[in-house]
Amino acid sequence: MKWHRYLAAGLLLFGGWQLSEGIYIEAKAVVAQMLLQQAWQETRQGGSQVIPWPWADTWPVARLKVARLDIDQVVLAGASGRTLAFGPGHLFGSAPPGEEGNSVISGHRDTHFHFLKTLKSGDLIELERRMAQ
Amino acid sequence: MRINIKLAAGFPLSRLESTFHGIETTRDENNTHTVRLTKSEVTADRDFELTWSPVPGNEPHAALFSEQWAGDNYSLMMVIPPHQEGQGGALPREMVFVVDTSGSMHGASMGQAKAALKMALSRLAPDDRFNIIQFNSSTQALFGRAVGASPRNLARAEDYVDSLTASGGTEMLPALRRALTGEKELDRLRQVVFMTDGSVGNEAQLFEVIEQKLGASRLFTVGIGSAPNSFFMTRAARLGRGSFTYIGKVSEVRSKMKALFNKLESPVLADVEIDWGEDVQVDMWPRRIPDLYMGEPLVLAVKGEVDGKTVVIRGRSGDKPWQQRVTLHGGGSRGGIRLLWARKKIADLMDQKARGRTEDEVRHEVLVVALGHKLVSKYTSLVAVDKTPSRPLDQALIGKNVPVQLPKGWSAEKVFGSMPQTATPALLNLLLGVLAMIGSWMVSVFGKRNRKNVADEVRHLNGEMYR
Repeated sequence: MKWHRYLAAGLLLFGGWQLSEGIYIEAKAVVAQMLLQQAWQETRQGGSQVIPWPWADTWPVARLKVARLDIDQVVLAGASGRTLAFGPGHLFGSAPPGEEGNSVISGHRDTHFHFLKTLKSGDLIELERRMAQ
Repeated sequence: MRINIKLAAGFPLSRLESTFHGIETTRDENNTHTVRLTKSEVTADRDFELTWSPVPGNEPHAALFSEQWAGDNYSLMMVIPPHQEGQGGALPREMVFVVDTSGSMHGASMGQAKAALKMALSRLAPDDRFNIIQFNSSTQALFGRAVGASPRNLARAEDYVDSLTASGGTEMLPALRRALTGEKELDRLRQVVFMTDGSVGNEAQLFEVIEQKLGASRLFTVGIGSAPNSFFMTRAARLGRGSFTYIGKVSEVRSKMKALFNKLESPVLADVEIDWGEDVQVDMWPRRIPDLYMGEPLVLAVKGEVDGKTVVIRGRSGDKPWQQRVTLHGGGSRGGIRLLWARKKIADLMDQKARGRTEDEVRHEVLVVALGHKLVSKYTSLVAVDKTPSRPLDQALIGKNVPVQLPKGWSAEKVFGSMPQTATPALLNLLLGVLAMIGSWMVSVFGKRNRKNVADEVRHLNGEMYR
């Protein structure tokens, strides 16, 4: 009855692969934010388009805070799938954060923006923007 | 949006068409056409373009409209030279193509430029001469000097066009200088076709170079990309005594370049001058009459008594001198002609700044015209004062953005970016992973139990047999 063994091994491999994929996505979301805080500090000190790691194609544009839920995230430029893996993204076509018009920031509802579920009306959402030039 | 037009062309029309909208036209006894949209209302999301042409004939068509204002007579005159004998054959040409390969041309713009260049190369006649110049941070020419359009040279040019890539800055000045500097040959028409998105900051300097170096060359600008610097290119073409063509997308390259080349290949009426007669004093704008291509009218705004006068229009057609005698008939009185005259004068004065006149002089003259006719110019603005305030003085003004229609063919997604997907497969991955793990454990347990059962069975059977 060898097929049992093959099936068990196959399922084990598949399960391991899926688990690591899932953990990888969550871990990337968390670790990237740590690196981004550094880049955000540089941006605040007058840098423009500070890329957080050498091969990055995005840069921090704002910082999003919800004190009650202990949320502190760096918002990135652009909202492509690649960018959203690292943090919430600001849509290029919308108004820059803090300026006149509607700014659109989007994030993954199961990583960075998971907190939206627990957000209550009356919660204070703070958006820190780059220093005015 | 509704459109209602009264068109008094001044001569009988053979054709009256709208390019993008359905229209209905009626004509009254004074040869005035009334144009209305077929639909009562349309969305304002594209240009409305109305084109018309006169009934062809051997006599020149001349139209004259006048307006009396403050004791002066203002006229708008339009003369369409007939196509007839006396026009010289088209001269062989020397064509210089200048293409912008700076970083801002990257992507679709470069594709359009390449397609336009190839189209241009295919239109060259064997006795034409040509050269290709590209510029970004530096300027580079394909040939040291213009060469004949032999199949071999054309093949080299095609390869060169294919090899163009967009990167670097936009240093337009050296390229413009180089393109406008050529051998002075009177038996050739020198045409410079300049393709760029015009993202430059030193316009004034560029205008000066065009003005100083143009000579017998003619400069045709081709605007590429979705947002070219039309101010620069329209004015560069006017100073260069050519025209401006705008190509907005790759699918337009063929039709737009074809129109441009039809024009470039048609016999030209150059060095046009008007002899008003001895005793006539006129203030005419534009001062320098642009070259006339086939079918193009000569349009002039004139201050002075010109009704009923006979004038002589002189020019050079191909290699022969050309002249035409035209009697100007009053085409009726129309409002707004003085404003047209004033605008043309202001535009011409502003161009003179590029030709080296000082800003002070130009400003002084523009002010006289602009203030006299109450026009907006670089130095004058209109100020509206509300005599019946509707807002209480202690309240602040409310500012608001007004939504506008996107141009036809644009999609909001492309302009503003589409909304991203906001879920990751992480949860699914984790769930599947856990399920597969559990499955794997169950299968192995089931397998073991099965093996145990079989072994028991075998033992049982063995027992039976031995019994």
